[in-house]
This record gives sequence, C-alpha cells and structure tokens, in this order.
Amino acid sequence: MSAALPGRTTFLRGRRFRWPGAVLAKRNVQIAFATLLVLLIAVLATGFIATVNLYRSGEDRYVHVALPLRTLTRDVLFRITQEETGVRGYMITTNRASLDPYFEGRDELAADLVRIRQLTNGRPVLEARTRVLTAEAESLRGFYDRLITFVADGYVGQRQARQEVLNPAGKVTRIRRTATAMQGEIDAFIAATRAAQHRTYITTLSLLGIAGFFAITIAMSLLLRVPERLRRAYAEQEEGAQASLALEHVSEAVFVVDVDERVRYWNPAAEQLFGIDADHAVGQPVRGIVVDYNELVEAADHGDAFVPVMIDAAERWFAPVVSEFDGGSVIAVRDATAGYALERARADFVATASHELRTPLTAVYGGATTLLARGDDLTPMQRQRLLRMISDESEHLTRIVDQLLVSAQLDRGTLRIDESECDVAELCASVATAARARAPEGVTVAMQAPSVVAPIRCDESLLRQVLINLVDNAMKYSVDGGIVLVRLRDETASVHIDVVDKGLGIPTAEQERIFEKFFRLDADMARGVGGSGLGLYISREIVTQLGGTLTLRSQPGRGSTFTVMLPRRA
Amino acid sequence: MLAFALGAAAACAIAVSAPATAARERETPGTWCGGTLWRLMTLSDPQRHTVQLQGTPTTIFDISKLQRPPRTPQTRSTTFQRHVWRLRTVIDRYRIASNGEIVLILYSIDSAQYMNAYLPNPNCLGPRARDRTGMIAARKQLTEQCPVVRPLWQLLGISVNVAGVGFWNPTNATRGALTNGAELRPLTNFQIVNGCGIG
Repeated sequence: MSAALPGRTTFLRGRRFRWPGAVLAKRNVQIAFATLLVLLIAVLATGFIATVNLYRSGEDRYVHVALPLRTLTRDVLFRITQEETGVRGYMITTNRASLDPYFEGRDELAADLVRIRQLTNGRPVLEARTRVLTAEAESLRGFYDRLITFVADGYVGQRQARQEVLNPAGKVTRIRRTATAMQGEIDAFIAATRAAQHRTYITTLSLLGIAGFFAITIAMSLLLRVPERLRRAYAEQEEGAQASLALEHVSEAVFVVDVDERVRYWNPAAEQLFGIDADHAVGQPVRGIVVDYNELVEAADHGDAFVPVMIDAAERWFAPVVSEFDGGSVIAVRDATAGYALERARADFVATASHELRTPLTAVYGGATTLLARGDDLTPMQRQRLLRMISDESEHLTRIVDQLLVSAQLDRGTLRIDESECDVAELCASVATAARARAPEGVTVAMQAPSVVAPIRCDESLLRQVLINLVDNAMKYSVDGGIVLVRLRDETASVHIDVVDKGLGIPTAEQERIFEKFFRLDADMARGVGGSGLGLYISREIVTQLGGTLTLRSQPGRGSTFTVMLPRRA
Repeated sequence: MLAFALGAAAACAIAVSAPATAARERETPGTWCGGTLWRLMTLSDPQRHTVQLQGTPTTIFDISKLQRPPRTPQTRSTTFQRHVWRLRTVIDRYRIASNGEIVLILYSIDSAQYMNAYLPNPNCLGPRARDRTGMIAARKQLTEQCPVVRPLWQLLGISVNVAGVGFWNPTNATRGALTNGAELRPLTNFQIVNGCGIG
C-alpha cells in the first residue's frame, strides 16, 4: 500500500485526494488574480475619483466661483457707473425720472454684493476684499443719497450738492480701484485653480501609471505562468484522482491522517471494516473514529502481524501497515481475523498432533523395548499382550497418518476417488465389528441395518475411513459409556448411514464449526478427549466428493447423530 | 420815591424771578415739553407699556399710506402708536425746537417723501418715561457726531437707521410733515450709516 502513496507533502480532503501541487497552484493563481483584480479596481477607482475631482474642482472653481466672480465684479463697476449717471442726471435736471438708472444700479449693486459675499465665503483674501468693496459701496450710496436729498431740498440743497459733487472724496475712484484689484485677485485665484488642477492631473496620471504598470506586470506574469501551472495542476489532480480511484477499490481499509491526527481520507473498505461512513469520518479526530488507533500504530511500528480490535463488541484481528509522509500518515488495515484463526488452529494442531502421535509411539516404543530387553523373562501371555498393544497403537498411528495424508490431498485437490459397487451393509458391519474391538470400556457398538440393501457406487476405502472417523468420534465423546449405534437406512434414491451416540453432544454454536479444519470441541482436552481436529473435516470433504452429504443433529448432554447420505447413481 | 423804589424793586424782582421760575419748570417734565400730548411724545403716557419696543421694519412710503384718525388721538389708541418703527432713511434737515426737542426731517430717496421725527429733550424724560436710555442715547449719537444743532433749519444729508414710536400730530402744516400727520416721536434708536464723518 505504501507504494501507492507518494512520499511527498500531501494534503487530502474528503474521499478524493487533492494533491498539494494542484492546491498550491490554484491558490497562487487565485492570489495573483485577486491582486490583479484589486489593482484594476484601484486603477478604475483612481481614474474615477480623479475624473470626478477634476470635474468638480473645475466646476467648483471655474463654473461656480471664478467665472461668476469675475462677471459680478465687472458688473459692480457697471452698476457704480449706472448710479453715478442717475445721480448726475438728477442733479442737472432735478427730475426724479433721471434717478431711474440710480435706483436700478443701486439695487443691482446690492444684489451683486450679496452674491459676491456668498462666492467668496471661505476664501480669506477675496472675503477681505469683498468686505472693503461692500463698505465702499455703502459709503458711495450714502454719498449719492446725500446728493439726491440735497437736490430734492431745493435751491440751497442743490447748491450744496453741486459743491460736493465736485469733490466726492475719491469714493468712486476708491471703489473702482477696489473692484479692479478684486478682479486681479480673481485672476490669481483662477491661476491657482489651474495650477491645482494641473497638480491633480499629474498626480492622478502618476497613480494610474503606477497601478497600471503593476497590473500589466501581473497580467503578463499570469499569462506566462498560469497555463503551465494549470497544466501541472491538472496533471497532479488527475494523478491524485487515479490514486484515489485505486484506493476506492482495494480490499484493505485505507485511511489518511494529517499531522493534526484528523482523518483526511477514508476509503470504502474502511467504511465497511469500521462501520463508519466517510462523511462522518473525514475531518474528525482519528482517535474518535478508530478507538484502537494507538494499538494499530504501535503494532505496525513493532512489526506485529495481528492486533486485536473490538468492533461492535466482537474481537477482530487486524494486520496494520503505517506509512508516514510529510503531511501525515497513511494507515492500511487488513481484516486478518480468518487468517489469525487458521494460524491459531495450525498451532493447536501441531500441539494436538504431537500429543496424538506421541501417545501411541510411546506405547509402541515401550512395548518393543520391553520385548527386546526382557522378552525371555516374560510369559507367553505377557508377550502376546505387548505385541497386541504394539499392533493396536501402530494401527492408531496409521489412522492418524492416513488422516494427515488425506487432508494434504484434499488441500492440494489430489484426492483420488476409485468408485466401484459397494456393499454398504457389509461395510457398516465391518466397521462396527472393528470398532467393537477397540471400544473403550462401557461403550457398546451396535449395528442396525435392513436385511437387504442394494449396493451403491462409491469409493469403499474412503467411505470406510469416513465411517471409522464417525464411529471413533462417537466412542471418544461417549465419555460416560453407552451405545454407539451404526444404523443403515436404505431409501429409494439414497442410502443413509447414521452414527448415533449418547455422549456429550455438541453445543449449537459449534455444530457447524466442528467440520472446520483443525477444530476440536475439547481443544484443551478438559474432558480428556483427544484428536487431530481433522476427522470430521476429512469426513465431510470425502462425502461431498462422493456426491453425498454429512449432517449433524445434536443436543448437548444427550448425544449426537451424524448422518451420511449417499445418492444412488447409475 | 420810596414807592417807586419799591415798585421798581418789585418789578426787578419779578423780572428776575420770572426766568428763574421758568428755568426751574423746564428741569422737570411737563406740558412745556409738547403741550397736552407731551406724555405721548416722551413715551411717558399711561399706555406706554403697550408699545412693542422691538422695531418693525417699514418705510416712509408705507407710513404715508396710513389712514389718519378722524380725531387726533389723545391717548395711545392706534396700532401705529403702539409700535416702534424702524427704517433706513436720509436726514435732510434738522433743528432744535424751543423746548429742546431736536426735529429731524427724514427724506425717502425712493418715494421722495418727507416725514418728521423727534429726539426729545432729556429733561422731558422723567423717571416714568419708557426706554429713556434708548432715547437719550439716540439724541447723544446725533449731537456728538454731527454739527451743533441750531434753532434754524440746517442741511444735514446723512444716511441713518432710525427707530421711533408712531405719533399722530394734530397739525401737518409744519415743514417736512406727512400729509396724514404721522411722525416718529420720540426716536428710541439712532444710528448713522453714512455722514457726519462716518462711512
């Protein structure tokens, strides 16, 4: 598994891998585009603001202030002239109609001064000049009003007016001079406005140029680098997707944990093994998802093949492999419960077989040694007994070895079946008779069969071995004695052979497992029942290969019935 | 001879004591300030508190349009009399009357109308006179800034802002009088805008 995962910085999220190169490339491109966008917005904003500023500045200073001021100041001069004309005309004619220009000029001048005050408000130089202009206009008005009043008064007043009009104390001159000066100041104001606008224009152009330069630089950089980066990013993405797809289909549970020990990837096998969906696992702390995470990692570090893990209150045996990389760890877990059981059964078998072989071998060795050393001293009866014992134990050894051989042949698929016409009744009787000879004390082997049983096609040797196994099993587990019955039933289409005992019986949970290889009901020999754990396995396999079935009915404490069914075949 | 001497002495005494009495009488407000209407002229009448002292803007032309009461009011009975009126105008001529009152002929440049206004003699402003301070200050403004007031009419020709109480004069034959007899009497405020060295 570790070969499938690259040993480089990796960032994984969700079920699909996202490879770091792709992520970094995407992020860089996003940052570059965002920067470009900001710059473009800045350029646009600067351009917009500058345009508005220039427009408003121009409008404010030229349209709304400078030009009206210049016009109004000129108008002031005109109104003064108008006033003067009216007053002089009245002085000459004493006709009030001559005063019309004066009234018009006076009212217009007052309006002009109000407007000028508004426009110069906030502009100190012009404001001061406006105050002077207003005072002088007021003074001139007072002078003219005096003259008009004198003229209206009659001869004396007219004479006084004529005297005074020749010496107007320079009022008209002063106000003309003030208005002219004010025009000059307005011109200066316009010049200052133009200079300010020029500065604004230059500043704006500079800012736009700088921002535009950066924007163009970034755009060029993006144009040159983005396609290659994207190509690489897509390639890495594709690579990641393929790796992810491969991991979706592996039988081992694979999950990826980042440096913060959070699950970043969780394949379907992991979903099945741990019973947790990827949606619930990804992003969660791994210790909250895999309770025995520490044990798995430690076992992998120590090279332990199997780690017991409790899942749903059941013990399972996992074989973990941990591969670390810069961004975290990849953990591959294989459910090795079956393998562990087989391994354990093999170990049990070695122990059991050793015991099973040693017992008869010890007897054979002891008997033979005694005969060799003290044969002459023994009575014929004693020698006969020893020889019988050697013969029986040798036969026992032969059966054990035969079982091992048959088991090996079954494993390799090389078991040879030689079918011929079999007299099943005769075969059952023979097995029963032989069994009686070695039956333990208290165990009686009985035979029950119809008077006539038609022969069937089978491998007599193999069927004999099956029946011997079943009868031996029945005798072994009849620890308190009793009858072991071999019962033959002849059906139309098949022959049934029941081996019935009244022994220990088999717990329901174990009734199927007893046919497994190396499985022994009394594995620790608490009841003193030995065996290789191969008998029932071999028996079922042989019966199956003969085309029949081997079934069991059993009640714990009340005995068991093994039934061999063999079909009649043409 | 003695009798002549006594008679002459008495006559001298009378001759000497008569101006003294008159002088004493003129130190206290009374009819010498303007006849029977002197209290109205000096804002000392019983209804003086009905006068709105805040000046109401107006013009000589507007005042000339007012309807003269059928009989000259002896009390402050008309709206015109119960307001202080404020206006900008030009003083054509001025003089001081025998009772110490300064008479101003106001001239409207726009309507070419004259109207009289009066600055009362401070001696005519008793403790009961309302806005006495304003009236005295108004008179002082003129007397301090402009040429000395004489009994004869003098040309003045200054622009002023004035405020005064409306008054109906029984006679409109005096120089500068409006035909409806309306006057500003007394003036409570006087401000030179242009003239007499100002402006």
